[in-house]
Formats: sequence, structure tokens, C-alpha cells
Amino acid sequence: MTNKEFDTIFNQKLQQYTTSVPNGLWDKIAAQDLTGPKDGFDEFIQHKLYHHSVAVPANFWERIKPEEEEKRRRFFIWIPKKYMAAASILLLLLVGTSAAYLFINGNPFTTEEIEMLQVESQSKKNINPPTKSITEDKPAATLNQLDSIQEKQESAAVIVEKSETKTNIVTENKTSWKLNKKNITQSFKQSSSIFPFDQSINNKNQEIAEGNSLKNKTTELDQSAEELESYELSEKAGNAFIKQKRNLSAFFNKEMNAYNHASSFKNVVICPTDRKLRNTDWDLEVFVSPDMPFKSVTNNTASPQLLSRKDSSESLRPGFSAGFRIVKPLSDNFSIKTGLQYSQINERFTYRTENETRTTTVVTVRSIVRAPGDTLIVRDTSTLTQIGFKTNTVKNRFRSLDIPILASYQVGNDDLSVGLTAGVIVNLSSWYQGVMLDSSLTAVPLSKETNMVYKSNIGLGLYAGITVTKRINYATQLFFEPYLRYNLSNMTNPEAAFNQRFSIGGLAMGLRFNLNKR
Amino acid sequence: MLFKISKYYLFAAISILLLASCNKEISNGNFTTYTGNELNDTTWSYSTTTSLALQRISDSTSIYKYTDSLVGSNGKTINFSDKFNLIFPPNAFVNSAGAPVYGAITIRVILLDEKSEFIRSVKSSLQNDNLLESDLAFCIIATAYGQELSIAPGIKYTVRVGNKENIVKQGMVVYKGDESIVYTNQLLIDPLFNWNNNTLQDYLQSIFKQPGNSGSKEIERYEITTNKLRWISLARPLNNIGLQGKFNVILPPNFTNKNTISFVTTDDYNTVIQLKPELSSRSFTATNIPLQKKIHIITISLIGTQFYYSEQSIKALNNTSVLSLKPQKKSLGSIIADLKKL
Repeated sequence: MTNKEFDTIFNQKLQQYTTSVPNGLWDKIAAQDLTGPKDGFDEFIQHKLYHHSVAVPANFWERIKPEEEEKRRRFFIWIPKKYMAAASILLLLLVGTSAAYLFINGNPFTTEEIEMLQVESQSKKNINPPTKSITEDKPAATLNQLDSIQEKQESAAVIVEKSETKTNIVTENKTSWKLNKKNITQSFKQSSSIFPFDQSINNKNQEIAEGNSLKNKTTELDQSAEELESYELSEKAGNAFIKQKRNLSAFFNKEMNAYNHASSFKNVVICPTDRKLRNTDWDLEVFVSPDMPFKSVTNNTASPQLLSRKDSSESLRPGFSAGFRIVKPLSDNFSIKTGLQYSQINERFTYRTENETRTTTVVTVRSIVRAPGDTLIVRDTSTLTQIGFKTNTVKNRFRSLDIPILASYQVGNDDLSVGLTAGVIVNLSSWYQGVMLDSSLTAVPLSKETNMVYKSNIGLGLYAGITVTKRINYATQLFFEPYLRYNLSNMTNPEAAFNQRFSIGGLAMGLRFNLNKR
Repeated sequence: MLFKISKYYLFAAISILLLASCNKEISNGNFTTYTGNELNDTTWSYSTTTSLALQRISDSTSIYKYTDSLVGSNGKTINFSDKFNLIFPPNAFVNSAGAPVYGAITIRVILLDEKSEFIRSVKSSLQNDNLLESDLAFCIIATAYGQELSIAPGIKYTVRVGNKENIVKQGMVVYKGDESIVYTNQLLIDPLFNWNNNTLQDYLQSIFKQPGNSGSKEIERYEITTNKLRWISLARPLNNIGLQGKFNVILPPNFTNKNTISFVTTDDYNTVIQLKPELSSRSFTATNIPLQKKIHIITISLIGTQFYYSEQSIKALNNTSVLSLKPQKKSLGSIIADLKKL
């Protein structure tokens, strides 16, 4: 909820109240002596509403429907994880599509909201705003009267009756909004606000002012509908879905208009639900993962000897991945992630080279008898050359740079949560280093320049992991994510003698930093 | 907070850098020697029998300088050159069973008139441990139907042979080469080969003279009438060479008595001394090396298919009793060329 919206609600609630100005207040204002308790506003609210009580409407609890929400939560817990993963991906796509749509159309109001605004606007054109002055002990009775279901139904009936005029008005409103977007500088000047919402309010004020000038009669039924809507608005304030534009006539008839009234409060009241609407949350994950690769090799044109020698020569060794991911929480449970990661698969390649010679410097000691009783000890430094085979061990390295595009659904509390993370890994580049066997079973070096077997881009891979997150301080969480990465395509070129593909299992360990200290 | 994040970034970056830069590429593998490979055999043989490598050295370096044929029943005077003539009477040959050979007979001759040829045939100029100064040595081999023949009883043939100077050196006498093994037509190394004094009954030595070119001196040839084939040498004892002593040559462990032969030659005399293996010191030695003369020490080795060669000249050994040589790889052609320079 924005401050403006909060002010709107606040205004609606207090529009019917009048009270005398405390002694000396105008003097203080004139003397610009506004120093007072910092929580004066809170004290004021407390003082006014502490003893205030309102009867719960008859169908109030049914409309809240907490049981249904509980059922829905249980349903999410017991749903199979694979469906949850699929649903997460679908939801990701849906959210992305919706966001893109909203971005392109750029209308901050839903159709329903616009319709409601137009209805109210129309009604205000035909009625006089209420200028009632009520005493402090009257609100309860008035609210009770307004909360009656009968009246609400009548109010709805009024809206239905006026539905014939809605379409044109909605279209007109849309056009106005688009014009504001296109000529935004002018709009700012005219509306005295940079916010489209305020511009809309001002437009409505103008319309209402025009409506007042007509001095049309008001019906009691319409008035009841306005008051009922006003009450519903106040009820829904906690749920952050506020239809602020409905009771604009009330704003218009106040002694201070909405903008000036909102500006008179210091901007220190921030409603928690406002953040949810704006969703400025961003997280950063930095992780390192020990990996264990799994290899699948199929024959293409290779000889059985080559495959057999390759199989006996190569053995996979643990690798690692490291990188970072930007996390965008879309709700308390659902988030999307992307970033950059480096992966390295290690392979031990053992091969034998024949007819290798090894030369060792040796010192030989010889006892030479030159004559009986004359023995000479000779130490001679020379070399010993031996021939044999050498068993070479080389670390082959298969490296890749990837972009993960992941969605995560997590359940739990602020301290500990568990969830599923899934998505795709988009390979940016892959490169290799080491030794491989050629068709003559000879070990040949493998490098970026000489590589004719492996691709430089291995395409997409699927990623799935289980994320366990533990909060370690206010803005930092420790997470562990055992995962499996399955590459969808071979890492070898189609012309290669064999097809080779890696899958990776690993345990990502890292820290998640909250970037905006929420 | 930003500082903390920066620290984490730094830590992560350094970790990644360390992991990625752990660039131990190709590691030297374990070396395993071939079993049974000659290069890896550093043991010395206790047997006096020559190894296959030494036989191959002999076969590779020694050559039959002359080859011809005759009919056994007819006999023949073979003039291989103006310096080497053989005169075989009719019916001069019998086979190993003593039967006359009347048919085609092949005559082959190995001539040792240089120090290098002694070495290539793995022969020294020693009578037991006594040095000989050799003028010429040769080996005459007669074969028929693949069998080596000998001279028929009661028959003698004549050899006329001359040196490069066409003059007979004083004091040169005939030595017969005594071999330890009965050889056929193969040129096998005989570790017990020795030049022994002849007997008057077997070898009649004379000087054959013939007119030389106009204005030049008479040409002199050694003429030997004998009933023995194979090795004959014309040499004389070398008694005025000064002090002699024991000398050892040590080689790297790869070079053993199975694959290496070693010789000492003198500059002033046509004398070649083979250094025999001394197992106790794993070296090659001889006890009659001139200590006050300029000598050359040569080793030839054959390991696998690779020849190794080393040669060192020493003006005078004097008190030097041991010398270490380091043979190097060399082709057979280069070895023979180097030997001719001795």
C-alpha cells in the first residue's frame, strides 16, 4: 500500500468527523512552532480510536474464508514435487508473460477498477456529496446501518443498472491514461504529480467538481452504496487490495483536498503490504559446488578397440562448479534465479607410451685389482639408460560457462526452509584441455586450437535440485542445494567417432545475501 | 554489508582462481622397464661363450675380401690381386668325412692388413699374453655344398701374399690361428682364439720375389706352403715396446661383456690388443698394454639394433690404470670409417 492509498483510506474513515481545533494550535502554526511529540500522529489515532468498536457484519467471516485458504495450503504441501516443479516452471512462464503484457499495455488499473471508478464518477455527477456533520457518538450506529447486507445488495443492483454506460466511459478513461503516458510532461504539470495514480485522482476530482456544478439530486440508495463501499474499502486495507478511487466524492467535499491532505503527513508510515505490491526484493546467491560427473558414451564410427581403450584409459574425477545467481522473489514461496556459473569436469586419462627411455645418473663402485695386494676402488659417475613403457596420467578438463535460469519454490519459515529448484542451464561456451585417443589409439593432446572432437557449445541442460536454506543473520542465508544437471545434447561433434555426454550431480553450497535489507 | 559482500566475492573469486589455476597438466607417468630387453640387461655373463650381440658385431663388420671358385679335380691358381695369390693343385680338398671333393669349390679370403680389420674381425695380435707385431693375417675358407672343406692328406697348397710396401719385413714368421670351436662357414667370434707358433711340417715359409716395374725395386711376397686352411698370420714378437701393464676400461652399466668388445691399438706398431672381460670389476682389461706408447682405446657395442662406439687416444698411460669411457650411439658405417683412421 502506498502512502497515497493509505491516506485515501484514512481520509475516508475520518471524513465524517469534525472536531474543534485545540487551543493555541493556530498560533503554533502561525509561529511555525510544530515541535511536539514525534508520535503525535499515533497518539492522535490511539486517542480517537482506542474506545471505538464496530460490530462485525453478518457475513464478514464467510467473506474472509480462512478454512479455504488452509485447505489450499495443505493441497500445496501434499502435491507431488514433480508437479510442483512443473507448476513452478509454468508459473514462471505465466508470471513472465503477465509481466510482459502489463509492461506493454502499461495500465496500472484493472478493468474492474476502472469500471468501478467510472461508475462512481457517473454517480457523483448526479448526486451531491454528503456534507453531514456527525458527532463522535454516532459512527457506530451509522456504520451498522451501512454494513447491512441488504444495503450492499441494493448497492450492487445500482451498479448493474448503470452498466450500460460503463463501456464508453472505460474506453474514454483508457484513452486519457494513454495520452497522459504519451505527453507525460504536460500531464505532470496539469496534475501536479508524477504518479499516474495521482493524475487519475486529479482527473476524477475535476470530473466530480463538474458533477457538483450540476447540483443533481442524490438518492438515499446511492448514498448507502457509497458508504458501504467505503467500509469495504477500509476492511480490505489490510489485504493490500485497495480500490482507492471509489469514494472520490468524499475527498472532494473535504475541507482539504486529497493531495494536500496526504502531503500534510510526514512520509514515515510504510504499510508492509506496500512492499509486496512494489516487490523490490532482490537476493544474491554465491555458491561453490563439488561435482561428480557421469558419462555416457555411444559408438559412432569408432572401432571396438578405440572404445575399449578409451573406456579403460578414462576415469572421471570430482569436478566443481562456482558462480552467482541473482534471485527475484515473486512471493513468499516462489522465486526465479539467473546468473553465471563456471563448471569444470575433471577426468583422469591414463595411457601408455612405448619404447620410452629413462636415463639415470648412477655412480658405480668397482674394485680393480691391479696386482696382487693392489686393489683400486674406482667410483665412476655415469648414466644408466633403460627402455620400457611409460604409463602417463593426464588430467583432462572439460570446462564450461553457463547461465542458469531457474525457478524455486520453497516452504518453511524465516529461519529454515526447504524447496525445489529447477530450470535450464544455458551453455555459453565450453572448452577442453588434456589428451585423447585418436583412431590409431595414440594419445594426442587436446586443446582449444586442436580440438576437432568436442563442441564449443553444448546447448541446454536441465537442472533440478533440492534447496535447504538456513538463516545465519539478518541479511544472509546459508543454503545447500544437492542437484542434478542433465545435458540435453552430446558434447561431441556429429563427425566424431563416438558420442559423449556428461551429466553432473553436485552439492551447491553458498550464501544468499539480501540486497535490499528487507 | 557491502564490505561483507565484497569479502565474500573476493573469497569466492580467489577460490575459483585457485581451483582453476591448479593446472597440473601432463604428469610424468610411471616408467616400467621391458623385461628381456637387451638395453635393460646390465648383467655380465660368466660364460666364455660369446653372446649373440658379439656375433652380430663380427658378422656386421668383418668382410670376405676375396671370393672365387674352382673345380676340385682340376685345381687352380687364383690371383685375387697382385698381392694375394693361391695355388691349389688338383684334388686338393676333402670334406669333413675325408672324402675327396672333385666338384665346385668356393674359396673365400678374409685379409687383415690393417688394425681396423683386426678389430672388425674381433681378432687381436697376441700370442697368449705376448704382443705380436703383425704384418698380415688372413683366413682362407673353402666350402662345397655348404660344408667347409679341408686340404686332402698329402696335399699342400701355396699362398703368396704381400704387404702394402711390397717388401717382406724382417723377422716375420707364420702364426697359425687356433680356434676353440669347430666352425663351418660362419665368422663367429672365438673368445679363446690365439695365435700360436707353427710347426715346420705344417707351414713352409719363403720369400717370393718378382721383378718390379722398371726402375723400381724387386717385389717381395711372403710365400707359404701348407696343408692348413683358415687363419694364418705373419707376425713377429713385439719385445721392444717398453713397459707394459694392466689396464682396465670401465663403461656405464648398460655396456657389458654380452654386448661390447674393447680393443687397444698402438700408433707405431700394427698391434691390436683385445681387452677381455673382467667379471669381478665389471670392466675390460688386458695385462700387456704398452704404458709408454701412444695408444687408442676403442669400444664397440651393439644393443638391440643400435651400435655404440667410443674411442680415446692417450699418448702414454704411464700410471693410469683405469679409464672410463662413455660410448655414444653411432652408425655402423661411421664406426668402420673411424676404425680405418686408427
